[in-house]
Amino acid sequence: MNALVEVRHLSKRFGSFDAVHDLSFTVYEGDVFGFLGQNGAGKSTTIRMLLSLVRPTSGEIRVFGKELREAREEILLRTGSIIENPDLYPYLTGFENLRLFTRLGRVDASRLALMERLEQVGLASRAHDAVRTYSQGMKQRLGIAVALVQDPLLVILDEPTNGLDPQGIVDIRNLILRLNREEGKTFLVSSHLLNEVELIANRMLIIDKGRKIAEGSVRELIDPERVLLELETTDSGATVLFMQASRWSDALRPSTSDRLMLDISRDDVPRIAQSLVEQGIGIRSMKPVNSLEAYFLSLTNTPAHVAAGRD
Amino acid sequence: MWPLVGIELFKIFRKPRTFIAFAAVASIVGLIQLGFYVDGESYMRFGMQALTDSFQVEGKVLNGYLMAYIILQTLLVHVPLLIALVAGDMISGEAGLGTLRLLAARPVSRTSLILSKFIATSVYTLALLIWMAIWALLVSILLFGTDDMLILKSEVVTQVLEKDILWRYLAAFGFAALALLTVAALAFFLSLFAENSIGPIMATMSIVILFTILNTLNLPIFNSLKPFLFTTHMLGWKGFFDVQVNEANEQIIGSVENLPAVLRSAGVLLLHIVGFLAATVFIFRRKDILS
Repeated sequence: MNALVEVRHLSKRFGSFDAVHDLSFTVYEGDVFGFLGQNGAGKSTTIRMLLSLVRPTSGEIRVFGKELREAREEILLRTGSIIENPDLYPYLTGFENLRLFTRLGRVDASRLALMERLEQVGLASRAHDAVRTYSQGMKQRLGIAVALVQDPLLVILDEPTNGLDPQGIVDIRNLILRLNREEGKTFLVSSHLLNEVELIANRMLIIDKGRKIAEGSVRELIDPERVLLELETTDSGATVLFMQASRWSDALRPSTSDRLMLDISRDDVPRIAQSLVEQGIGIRSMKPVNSLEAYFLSLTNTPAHVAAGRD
Repeated sequence: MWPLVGIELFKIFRKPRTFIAFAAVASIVGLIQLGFYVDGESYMRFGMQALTDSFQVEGKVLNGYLMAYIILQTLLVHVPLLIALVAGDMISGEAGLGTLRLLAARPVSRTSLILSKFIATSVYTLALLIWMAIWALLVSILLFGTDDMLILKSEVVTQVLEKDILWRYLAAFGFAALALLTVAALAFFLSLFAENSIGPIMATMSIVILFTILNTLNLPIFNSLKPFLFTTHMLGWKGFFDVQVNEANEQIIGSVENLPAVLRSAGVLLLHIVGFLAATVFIFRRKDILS
């Protein structure tokens, strides 16, 4: 497999704040590479460095085998991107926005080709309406059309499903998978939506506070036999004391006062339930967190309800 | 780079705010012309009372050339504020929309990007100036006719012969272009540091107003500053209407009384433009685009 993006010891410091620290990873040709991390983990800063929007403090970025600083324009010619939620030009129509960025990408696309791109993201019927009349989801889809318009080899999408409704999320997911399979495009997709990455990525990188905590194939990183369990009982103090004294003491993960997080094998779920009942501790809820989310949380030491934005 | 300039011009002229300045210039000039058309004769009689007491003045004093001079004198202080509306939005507006990062992630150099934006701003500035010239000169000539132009100053009266006027206006508008481009370059530079256009527009207006006030205050402490203020040199266009005379006190056609001073002012403005633009390119090339 050819390495399309090679990042070595990349760091970015804003004043005294380390936004990205000593980050290294590789994206191979044909990958749908998931770039995972919570908000503020350093994903956008890393992506901005990949697109030469932000100057690294140190480290090396090679794309298509070339050093980014030396071959910036050549690399960007074959790279499509969308960073966060661009509003595009509200006073222009969707079609005019797309044509404008096509010209900036030094591409001579026909009117038909542009309309096909808009059709691909479900915007053909609104092509000639001003972007100011678009919903956030429509702007996001137009942004994706802009990223794809120069027929890039590498597509970098920063939080591409932000602002989309459930159907829109499915459509974008299918579009990414189809372009990857049928046209061989390589995707680097950042997201804080863990299940999104799990559904589309074959390889992934997880970062937290600007540092890499894991990189590899999704299959390698997730152990299907393990589960992160969110447990709520009638007496959390007694539950903690019981767990600490039991053979599951190592399974305890950072928790809150009323919810315990346990990193255990699937087989242990009924055993723990039975033991708690035997101890006279009532169970209010036992909720397994999905596999990738469990893995992510166990690595970043974040309580599940915090990661899910439910605090 | 020219396709980039075309794209920038397309964006400028599709933005509704671009036309505010054109409408404002047409309205203000139209109002001044209407006022002089209705009450101009009595106004001129009053204004020239001191002169007509001692001299007999013949011909059409209130003519199109004089009107253009009055309009230029009035507007060239205020038009820069209209220029700032567009120039101050060129980078900051893109940052606010989130399109600056899309532009900077395209396969074009940052220098080309910023230069194309400045060239487009300059085209807009020149278009506005031509629009002003059409209204101030051509429409005034149509409404008020032509004759020699009398310019009344505090101690002297300058008579510019009709056959010697048009080239002076061409030169004056050329000079005014430099003056307006200086303000455009300042607003463009300030636009680099903001994520919405209000900041740079207000900052540019404040600087122009402050410097203009300093220019009008005749105090020793400010007088020493004046040569370094670009607003001092923005009025240099008036120099083209100061005519040299020969020993027989006859006008020398095609002459300018103090051409070196006019050229020096033009040079100072040009230096400001180059300075602001160079600083913008230098900073933008190194800027982290976080917006």
